[in-house]
Amino acid sequence: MVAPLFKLGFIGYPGMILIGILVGFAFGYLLQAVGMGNSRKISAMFYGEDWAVMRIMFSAVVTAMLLTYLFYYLGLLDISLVQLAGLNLSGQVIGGLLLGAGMVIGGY
Amino acid sequence: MIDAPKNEKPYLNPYLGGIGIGTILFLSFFLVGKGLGGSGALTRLLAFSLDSVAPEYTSTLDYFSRYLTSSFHPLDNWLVYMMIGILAGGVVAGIRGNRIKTIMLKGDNTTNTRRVITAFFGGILVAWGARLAGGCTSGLALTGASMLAVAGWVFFMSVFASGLIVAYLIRREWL
Repeated sequence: MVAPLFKLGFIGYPGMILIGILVGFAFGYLLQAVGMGNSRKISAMFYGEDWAVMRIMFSAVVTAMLLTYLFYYLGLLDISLVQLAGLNLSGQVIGGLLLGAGMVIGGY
Repeated sequence: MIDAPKNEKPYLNPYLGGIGIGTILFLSFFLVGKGLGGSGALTRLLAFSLDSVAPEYTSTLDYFSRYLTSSFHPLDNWLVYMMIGILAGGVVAGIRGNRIKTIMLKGDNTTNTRRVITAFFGGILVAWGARLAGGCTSGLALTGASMLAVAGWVFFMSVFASGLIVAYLIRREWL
């Protein structure tokens, strides 16, 4: 296991900061480029008029999942060291319901 | 299909964009061991701002004080560095796509005033929901679902269930 590189000490704290900024830059760039800055495009998904949000979300999830487990099976990535969202069932159900309502009301 | 407004560059293919975002998410797991996030940075900014204005009051609030008692500065955090990058990346993509301008994106049958009000209250619900759940669409749905975390999928399904129902109730605002 060599990764996560930062948690195993191959990358230092300044490196983590730089990666954070670069990862954020690429994420922000792509979100804007695919049209996630457009509230009409986001809300249109809930009316079945535009499937971009679903296509983006699921191709991102599947890509990340495949790469993550591929590197895990290759013995390169220790997934137990990757920060995992803890389950808080009522928080995530109620929070999800509120966020979903807010997303379609506000458009983002 | 909602296309880019007039004079803007067309949007990037969603599958291509999704594969790109998924690759970035994987790189963030591989390099640092953490995922993407949008709402955490705002919480930390709020904790820091409240503490600068009213430190005594802030220390009585469990929710914010946990960000302030750690040995790290509340803004010295992975998600905050990422937010700096997100903003910069969004601006660069906006310039390249000719999208830097003032525009009111709304449904055809609603007014600007209504759009501003719905944006405001929608924003409150999004922020409240994200903090209750412990993450937003990026931190929980995208990152959690990729790691096959139950939390991510439960959240993902709740968001869409509620979005679909509320969408019908407020269809006048968008259709």
